[in-house]
This record gives sequence, structure tokens and C-alpha cells, in this order.
Amino acid sequence: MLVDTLEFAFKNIRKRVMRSSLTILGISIGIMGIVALNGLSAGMTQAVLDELAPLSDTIFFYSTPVSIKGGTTDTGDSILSGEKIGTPRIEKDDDFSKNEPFTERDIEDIQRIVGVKKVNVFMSGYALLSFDNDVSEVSILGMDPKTMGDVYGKESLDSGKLLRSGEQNRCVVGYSIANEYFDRKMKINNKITLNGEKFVIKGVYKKEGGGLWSQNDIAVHITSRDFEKVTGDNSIDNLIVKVDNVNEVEAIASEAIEKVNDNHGYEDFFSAVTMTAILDRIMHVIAIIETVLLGVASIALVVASIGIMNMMLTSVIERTHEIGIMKAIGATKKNVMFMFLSEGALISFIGGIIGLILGFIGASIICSFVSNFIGTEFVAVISPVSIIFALSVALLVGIVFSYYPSKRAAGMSPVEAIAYE
Amino acid sequence: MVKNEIRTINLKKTYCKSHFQVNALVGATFSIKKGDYVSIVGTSGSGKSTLMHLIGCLDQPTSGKLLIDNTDVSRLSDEDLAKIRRKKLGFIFQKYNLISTLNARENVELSMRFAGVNKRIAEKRAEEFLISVGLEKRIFHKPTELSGGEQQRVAIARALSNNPSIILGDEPTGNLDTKSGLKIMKILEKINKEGKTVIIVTHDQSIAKRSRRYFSIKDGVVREDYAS
Repeated sequence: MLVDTLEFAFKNIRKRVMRSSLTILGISIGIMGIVALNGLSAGMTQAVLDELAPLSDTIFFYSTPVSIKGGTTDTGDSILSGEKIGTPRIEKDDDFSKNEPFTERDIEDIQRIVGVKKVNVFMSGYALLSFDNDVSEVSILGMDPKTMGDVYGKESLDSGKLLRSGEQNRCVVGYSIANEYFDRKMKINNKITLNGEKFVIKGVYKKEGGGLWSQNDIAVHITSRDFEKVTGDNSIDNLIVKVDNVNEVEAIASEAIEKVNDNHGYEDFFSAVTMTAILDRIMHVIAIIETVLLGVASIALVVASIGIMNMMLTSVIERTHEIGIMKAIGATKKNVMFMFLSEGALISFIGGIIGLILGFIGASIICSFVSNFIGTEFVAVISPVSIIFALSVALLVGIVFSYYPSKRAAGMSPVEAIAYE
Repeated sequence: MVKNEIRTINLKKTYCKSHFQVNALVGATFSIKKGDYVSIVGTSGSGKSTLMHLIGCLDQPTSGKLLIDNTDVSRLSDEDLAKIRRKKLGFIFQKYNLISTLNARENVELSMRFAGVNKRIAEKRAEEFLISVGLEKRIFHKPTELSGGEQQRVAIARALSNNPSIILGDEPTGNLDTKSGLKIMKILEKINKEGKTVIIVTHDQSIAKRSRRYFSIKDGVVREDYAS
């Protein structure tokens, strides 16, 4: 009987093709919204995980600007807007502030913590870059060449090579600086100056786009010794610490913070960011965005569902005579109800399938657009679970919203229904 | 002795229309035996359709009893009435009342499917019934592709499909020309000869006179005029 009923429902849908199509379109739009948003959200989550999960064994330490006397400092944002362990609250005077650097002792103390694999040190600052008689202010990062190999690696290069130990006045430039900052594109062995100090370009990084290392696009990497020559400063203000066990990352970060703050006599001065904390925060934000967007898409689905009810009510009125005939030849209330429920469910299910396809196409188009815009590959993830979910929602909506019209049809008096013209 | 298949005892039907009541059927008492061929004749508004609807279990009486095979159907639930319509009764309407989206075979099949007959068996039987009413070349035609007489023959095949013992015809020739009407009557008479009870409501005396029993109805009062 189910096959007959579905066949019969399909014939009725075909008979009222325009009305059915419009109702199907409504459901398609609702389901498309849900599928696309769900796919984008899952894609976003996957992109974040792909980007950050490999760094889950990493802790970023940084010092924050402080004043020497009186007042309370504003900590500012870290290069990574993650959850900070230890928020600076330094008494200060408003007229003078500086970044207090990490010391050799800090680095040794962190290195001694059980579970720490490696501590990479960085110096950060700004310099005036001169190339082709043009000048631009750029961010510079000083580091040991070995650190450059460990943290960035050869695979991050677009052309040239990374720095080697003992090399001087050589640099690796970010993609945007090399290709977009000046009229002429920079090439390997081109000469530049940083604060008047001459450098030869040894390598150019690949474009990072919107990723974790996006600041690399607008930075020049040099050795620590050259950094001191360019800026006159040898302060270490960033550390990247790798740990052996991902599960211990939070505990190690807390211990390191405590030791470094003790060394400097502050209660809450140095901060650390772990990938776990960043991931938690990002996932939370994505979940909020997803909920809000799904709520919006659901409104479209509810409107479409009302369309199903409207169509089914009209159909019941139009087919009153037919209902009477069916009852006269022996259809029970259940038979009639099942027929109309099947029709509503079938319309909604077809809408669901179309919505699923449109949602997939829509999400792919958006992803392609976003990928081009941010420069990072971003793919919509439409899992079998979300396909089943979307089709189930469509089916459920069809059944729920055709329940009342079906009940009305089933409850009709056969005599009155047959007499209806 | 042939037993009574349908018995009515003081059967009444009153319709309430806003501020007044219409007594469509006033205390009808009669019986119809298995294999009878009965005509119910009356003018428009006389109550003949009301009586047909009651006998056909499409409606329930206001009072009185209606027994079909000794079961009082006047107090049965909707589901039980549907069961009786499916198993014991076959309807033929004046306007054929076929379902427009279905072809001839599917129309005949439908009532069998409601009765739970397997799809393949229902299809085969539907084709057999259509052949028996001379529609072997019209099996897959939709109602709109059939003439009035052909549509009525599909309706007869549908009425016979669940092998009911009672066939009810509500002006079965009312929409047909004389030739087609005659063809339909001959089919009904053949069905009656095969042992089924045939009850026809008509206003056409020539059709009514072909039956063995003749009931007239006027102002809701039923009277048996003759039995041949």
C-alpha cells in the first residue's frame, strides 16, 4: 500500500505541478540554507583544526607593555587573540611604558620544566625598508637560523633558501613585501636596506593569506645578531615552546608563567597562549555563529512549512469529492490520512533533496569565494550525518505540517464529501 | 428459504438546517432478500438518495435500525462502516465518480488495495473485471479519455472488484444516452443473475420496471408497489 500511496501522491503532485513546484522551491530554500550553513560551519571548523591542530603541542609566550610606576596597564591584544594564561595587571605610572623582555634565566627555567621539548626565541620590532629608492615600514623578526628551520621550514618558502648559521646581512622576506609593497617585485639576491643596514634577499616566503602565520606576509626575518644591528635592541619578547605531550600543554604553560613572573618580581606579567585554549575559544565562537545562522535559515524553513500546510489545505478542499469517492469504495480514515500525509511528506522530501544539492553548490561557491578572498583553502564539509539530518528535517516538516490538513480530510463525512462540487 | 440481506426497521433520517428540520426519511420498514433486484423510484427531493446513502453505509440514521446480514450497522463506528462498504457493498454513481489522476485499471484496483489485496493480484483482477465489461482496449486509459458509457462500465468493474454481495446504483444511467444506458442495465441484470443483490435508485420508470421489486418513495415515505 505504501508504494501505491506514494505513486498516487506523486501523480497528484504532477497534476498540480505549478503549485507543487512553488511549495517544493520554498522547502528547497529552507533546506539549502541549513545545509549550506552547516557545511560552511563544518568547513570553517575543519579549516581551523587543520591550521591549529598541528600546533597543539605549542605554547606562545609573550611579554606585554608595562609602565614602570603606578596605575594599571592595558594589556593590549596578543598576536594571537587566544585565551591568555595570566593577564598582566601592573601598577604603573601613565607617562612611561615598555616591553619587559625575557631573560636568559627565563629561557633556562622554561627549558628545565619536565615535558618541554624546545624553546625558540624571537625578537620583534619595526624597521624602515628601502628598496628601489622607495621606503616602507615593515615588521622585522630576529631569530636563530635553526629556529627558522624548526618553526617555518623549507616548505614555507616560495623561492630561495632559509638562513644558515653564521650568515650575516641576509634576510627572508614575506610574500606581500616581496610582491606588493614596491613597484618592482623583489627577487632573490636583490639588495635592500633595513634602517640603513644593507641586506641581501636570500628567500621569499609563500603567501600565508589568513592563516596562523599570516603576519609572515608582511615581515622580514633576519638573524638575532642582525636584529641587534638594525634596531640596537637585543630584547627577547616572544618565545615559542614545544612540549612532548599535548595533554600537558596547559600545565606546562602555567608552570612557565609562574616561574617567569617570579623571576621578574611581578604577579601577573607574562602571558602564554596555547592552541587548546585558542581552539576552544574559536570553536565556541563558531558554535555561536552557527546557531544564529541556523536560526535564520530555520525561519525560511518555517515559512516554507506554512506553505506546505497552505497547499495541502487547498488540496484537501479541491479533492473533497475525491475523498468522498475513496471513502465510498472503502477507504478508512487511516487510508485517507496516510494518503495526504504521504503527499505532504513527498513534497517536502523532494524539496529536501533539491535543497541538499543547492546547499552543497551554494556552500561550494561561497567557499571558493572566501578561499580566494583570504588566500587559504576553505572547503565546505557536508557529512553523511548532515545529509541524513537535512532529509529527516524535510521529511519531518512535511509530515508535521500536513498533519492537520490530512486529519481534516480523514474526518470528512463521506456523504458530504461526495456531494461536494 | 432465501434469507433477508437488508432489513430496515422504522428507519428515520432528519437533517437539521439552521432553524428548521427536514425529515428526509420517515420510518422506512422493509426487507431485501439476497439476490433481489430492486428499484427505488422517486422524484427529486423525495428522499431516495438519503435511503441509498443509509443502505450504502455512507451515512447513519437518526433513529431506527438498519440490518445488513443481521448486523445493525446504524450504530457502527466509522472504521466498521468502511469495512462493510469495502466487503459487502459496491457503488455505482450517476456521475461515475472515477478518480481523474488514475487510469481505468488503477481506479478498479484502488478499492481492492484498500481491502488489502496484494498489488499484483489486484492488477490482474482489475484487468479481468474490465474485460468482463468489455473494456479490454481501455485498461490504461484515464477517465477523460473514456466516453460516459465506458466510464460507467469502469465504475461497475470497480463496484464488483471486492466481490460484494450488494451492488448499489444511484441513477446509474442518468448521465448516459439510451443505448449506453441499456448496455449498463444489461450488465447489472447479468450481475444480478450471478446472485448479487442489485438496488437501483432512479427516476426513470422504464429503467425501474426492469427490476423484480419496485419501491416508490415520496416525502420520505417508502412503499413497495409491486413484486414481480
